[in-house]
Order: sequence, then structure tokens, then C-alpha cells
Amino acid sequence: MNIEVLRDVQESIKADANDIRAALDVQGIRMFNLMGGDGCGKTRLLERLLPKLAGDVRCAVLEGDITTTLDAERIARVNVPVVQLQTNGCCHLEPSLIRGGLDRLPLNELDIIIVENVGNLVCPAEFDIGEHARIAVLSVTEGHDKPAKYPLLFSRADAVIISKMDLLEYTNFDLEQCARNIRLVNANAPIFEDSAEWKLDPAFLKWLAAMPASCA
Amino acid sequence: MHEFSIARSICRIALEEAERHGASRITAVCVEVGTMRQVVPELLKTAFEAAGSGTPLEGATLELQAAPVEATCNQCGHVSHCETLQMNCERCDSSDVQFAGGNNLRVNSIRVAEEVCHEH
Repeated sequence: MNIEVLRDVQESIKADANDIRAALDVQGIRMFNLMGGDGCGKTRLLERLLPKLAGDVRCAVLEGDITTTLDAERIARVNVPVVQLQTNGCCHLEPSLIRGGLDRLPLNELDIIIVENVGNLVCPAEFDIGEHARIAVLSVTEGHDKPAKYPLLFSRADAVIISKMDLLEYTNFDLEQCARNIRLVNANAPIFEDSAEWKLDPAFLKWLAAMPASCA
Repeated sequence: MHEFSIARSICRIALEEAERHGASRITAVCVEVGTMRQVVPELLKTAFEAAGSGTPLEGATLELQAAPVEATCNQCGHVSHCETLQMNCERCDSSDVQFAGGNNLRVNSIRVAEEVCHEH
């Protein structure tokens, strides 16, 4: 006997994510899901970004990694509340882990939470974690072909940061081709060029600050 | 290896539906997978077998149906449907296309074993 079902496979994950988003909305907190391959510069970006936001915006970070607390230790050094989420082998974050992390943050003292997802261009893109916006990071050393090879992550990004621009001259990275590859799957996301070692892109800071709390 | 998480969700939904219909054994689960989703069919099937073992899903087959992505040509406006992102516009052959959709991940149906009635 055939039974028609027509149910979204991720319905329970989406429901959990929506609950998280709604709870953050009540608190007036915006949460960003920072995604990109391992070593693309996500943690370095945060190390440079968070001190710039200090004073204007109250930030906290949830650090997703398979194991170790190395990244959380780096964030703690810039005096921002941080919780390390260890996935113990899992390649991505899910709402259940995020909820555990949020429980350990001083939510009534925050404006922004940035979740640094597990370094991976594939799996994290598949899961809504209750964020208000997704930021994809791609470093010039990874290659301009990545948005074409890993389309889901870039198709769902609300902003794309091309990082390590200070290394551009040492690579064969083609910025125009990269932008074309992003536009294949994402017509609207702003693309920022950044070099955390030199200078953060002020346009990205502006974008981050302009994101309203209920933008989801 | 996010396929295991997806497989667990598929199993949960299939088991709920079977229970709702009073079925004790599921023989097949049909799932629509959008072209944009990065799901490896072989891995999903292996994870599905593991997640369903010891349940009414034991021995059930996972049938995957591809859901195409929509490609709109930025040059001539033609809209085509394709099951890969590597394509040019089928009308004017331009590579300047915009992909959209293909995000579905949905349990469309399940097949359950007919219960044999032994009552006389």
C-alpha cells in the first residue's frame, strides 16, 4: 500500500531553528552564521572584527569545531563572551547544539551573536541553525571555482566575503570569475573584499550594522 | 557526512506515518532530493539502512527522485529545468544563467506491507 506523505525532511530542524530565531527576536538579538572552508580565515576575521565593534555593539561568539577549544581561546583573548561548541566528529552545527550554547551566554547583555560554523563548504550549508543572516567566507588561496563547486553554501549566503586579499598576487585567483560563479546561484548577496591582516572592509562593517533585528 | 542526520530525519518521518496508518512494516520510502542539495545518494542509502535497522524500516529501500533546478538565461530570458548546475541556456547557449530552486528535500511517500488478516 502506498501512503502519500509530502513532509519536509528537515521539518523538525527548521521548527527548532524558527524557535531559536523567535526567541532571539524577542531579545532583540541578531545572529549570524559564519561559514566557509577550513582555514579560510573565519576566526581571524572575528579576531579583527570584534574589537572594531566593541563599544557600539555587544557581541558574543559561538565557536563550532569538531574538537579542541583553540578557536574559543582566540576569541576569549579579544574579551568577547564565547562558547566552544564541540561536535565530536559531526561536520556541521544543528539547532540543538546552538540552543546549548545560547543557554551559556548572557543574552540580556547582547546585540549580536556570531556563530562560527565548522570549517566545511558542504555540510553546514544544509542546516538552518536559527540565524538571521548567513555570511560565506572564501579565501583567495582556495580558488575562484569554489562557488561553482559548492553552490548551496553560496546560494544561501546573505553576504560573501573574499578573504586574504593581501595574498591575491601570489595566487591565480580571478576575482571577476569568482563573482560570476557566485552570481550563477545568488543574484543579490553583496560581495566584500577583505584582508583581515591589512584592513577590514568598512563596507562589510556597515552591512553588519545595518542588518535589522527581524530580518529573517 | 551530513547524510546521517538527513537519514535519521527521513526514518523518523517514515516511522511516524507508518504508525499513524497502523502499518508494522515499511518496504520503501520515496524521497525527493533537489539538485541544489549536496546529498550523496550512496551515503544517504547507507545511512538510511543503518538508521532504520531494528525498526519497521529494516530492509526497506530508499528511492530517491531528483528535483530539477531552474535555470533562467540572463541573455534571452529562457527558463529551463536541469538536473545539473553545469549547463548553458538550451535556447541561446549562453553560459550567463541564474540558477534557482532545487532545494527540496521531502519525503513524498512510503510503501507499507499489506497486513494479512488471519481472523475467521
